[in-house]
Amino acid sequence: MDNGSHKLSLGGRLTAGRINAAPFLGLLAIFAAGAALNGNMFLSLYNQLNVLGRNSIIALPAVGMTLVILTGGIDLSVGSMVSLGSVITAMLLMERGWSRSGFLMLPFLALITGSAVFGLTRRITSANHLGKLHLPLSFLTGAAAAAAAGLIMVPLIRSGFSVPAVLLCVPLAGLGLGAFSGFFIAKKNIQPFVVTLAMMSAVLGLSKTVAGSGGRIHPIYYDAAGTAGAVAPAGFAWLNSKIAFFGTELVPVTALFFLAAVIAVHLLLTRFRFGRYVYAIGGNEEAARLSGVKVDRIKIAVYAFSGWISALAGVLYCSAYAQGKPDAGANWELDAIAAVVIGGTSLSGGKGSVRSTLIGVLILGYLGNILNLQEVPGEVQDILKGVIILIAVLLQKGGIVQSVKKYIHRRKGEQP
Amino acid sequence: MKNSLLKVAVISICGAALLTGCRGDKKEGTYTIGFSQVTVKEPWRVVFNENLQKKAATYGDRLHLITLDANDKTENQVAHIETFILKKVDGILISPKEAAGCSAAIKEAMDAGIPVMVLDRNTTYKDYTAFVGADNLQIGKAAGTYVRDLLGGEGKASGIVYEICGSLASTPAQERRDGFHAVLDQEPGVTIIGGLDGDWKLDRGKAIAQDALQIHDDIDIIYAHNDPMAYGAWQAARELGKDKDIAFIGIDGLPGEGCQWVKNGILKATFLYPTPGEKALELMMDMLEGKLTIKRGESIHLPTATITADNVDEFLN
Repeated sequence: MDNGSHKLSLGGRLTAGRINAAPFLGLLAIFAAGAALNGNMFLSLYNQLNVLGRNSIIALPAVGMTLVILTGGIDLSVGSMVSLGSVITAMLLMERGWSRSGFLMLPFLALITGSAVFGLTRRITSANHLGKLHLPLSFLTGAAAAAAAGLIMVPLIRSGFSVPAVLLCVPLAGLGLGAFSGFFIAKKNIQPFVVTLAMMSAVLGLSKTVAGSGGRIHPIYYDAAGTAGAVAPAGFAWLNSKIAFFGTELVPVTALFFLAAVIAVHLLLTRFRFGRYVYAIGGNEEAARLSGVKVDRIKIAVYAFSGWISALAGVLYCSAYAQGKPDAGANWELDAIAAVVIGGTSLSGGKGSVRSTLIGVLILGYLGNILNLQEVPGEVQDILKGVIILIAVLLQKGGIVQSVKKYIHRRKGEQP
Repeated sequence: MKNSLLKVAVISICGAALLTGCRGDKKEGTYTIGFSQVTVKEPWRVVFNENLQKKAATYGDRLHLITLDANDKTENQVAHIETFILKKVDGILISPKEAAGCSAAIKEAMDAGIPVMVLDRNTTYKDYTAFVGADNLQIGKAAGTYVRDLLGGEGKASGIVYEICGSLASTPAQERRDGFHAVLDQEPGVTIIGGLDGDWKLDRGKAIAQDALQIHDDIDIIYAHNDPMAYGAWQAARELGKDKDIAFIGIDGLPGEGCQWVKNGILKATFLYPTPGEKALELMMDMLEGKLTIKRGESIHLPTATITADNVDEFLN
């Protein structure tokens, strides 16, 4: 989709309509407004890093949501995945021995590892023409892998999880649940709205069940004062820190996660076949199917990815706010959808990019920041956010840009 | 023509930047205090904010109070504190969502030299300036004592009490239950039954009472952990024609709810759960103006009050 545009300057690309100009100009306008209204306070490194660091967490589900929306779907369950991710993370880090989160994760990880290995060996063995042998062989290796994963998990659960273990394992719970949604959407042909609405409720319930006592908060402690004794590994706080260069804290770790996600998904969408298929399905699913695209697989993959990255956001949330709790991520699905839409990705699928989501996230983040700095009361902030979303969609449709263009055109035409 | 669109955008942005000037500098003897309220969805918190605004108005020009609503989200409260630090406010009041989430941000503000007072719910970080809040255990005990006296007095009380709890995952509900039980467990003649979770909601309280009143027809008192649930229980009893035989006791004593229901003879009594805003603002201003020093980390507990038909008019204004 970028072909040819690299020859033009940024301004040229904007006005030539190669990039949807409206969201980008909107971001510029909001940034300028922030600088104008609050000056150094808004522009200060402290403020910029805080806005970036904080919004990077909420931005991760928006990246997954972008892929889902590009296929013409929607994922309402991302907030609940964040919730589950934060609860499991806090419990795996803080508890020693068998808690509910351990009981949930063990079969989950065994199943996921097992089926991944099963799929892989089946592919390899069937390609090698092993005939009737290939199915039992795949089952065997899959089961072995599942058992191995379980065996690795047991000591981890007993001794408390390390930071890499949490980063690796917890998102897999989201992956599995997301794939489950994807299965019903792709194979059973139920509308994504309905399936993910059901998952939103069910996963939130699961999160509350795992948390215990109807939804307990699980705080993270780094020192033994005031706790039952167990503490989280100190490295977990690193996820919420800023990396220093030349003695100044410059890069929030959460922003690195967001940036990596954006770059990875951008490459996936522009450089790989997978990306072309995503656009094709969103554009015209039937046509994609008829031209040989494995629509079901792609769909399951995008919902699995959305669940995976949302649960990862849950891990980061847990670090940022030193707690895992069932109401973490409440309403984040709406924020994620808003960011995608403001960026200019079409809800009907097939049109948009992950770069625009980056812009949408920044617009929403700066907006909240500026309104806080301006001491705007909460109820007015809500109204303004609604207005901004509407304006963004209008701009996207070319409504305002078109009329400005027409106006300029008419003026030029009238002059002799 | 192609570049004109970009020009228009750039010019309008620059225009906007020029039009809005800088804001005025800080005046001597005036103080800016930032307040982060966790939510205004609950009636109690609306009254909390109203009382705080009223108190703030009494300081006139000496005080600029910034009130921000976090929409029930921890992450918004952290953003609020960061905003207050940026604005170099003179003091911060925060009524946090839960114990852990805001602790790091509160520490950051304290480290930046800004005094922070934590209101209503406590935080895991205790090295703040002060905590100001009501004591739910004391309120539970006050309710227990009142019920004991209603049922015959110390050592002689007898009767059946049905309890409807608030959200049992929350400490206020646990403390309102434990304080109540601490008093009445000493009375062999009193039986407390029920104890179901009504989640602070009127409709849940009503549903629980509907079921309970059909099983038990000898209930003397219904004690609910807040006024709306007590009112819901009363509605259920009235539909069954039993409202005259039972005394309904609630907690919170808000003017528009509990106090009105006491006034109307629906509730026998309610126990004031005082809003901490006024007291905290007063302490903060006194401290900033040098009239008072507070030991860092101090806990200031606000007293409750028993509101009955005799004194309800004092609380209705």
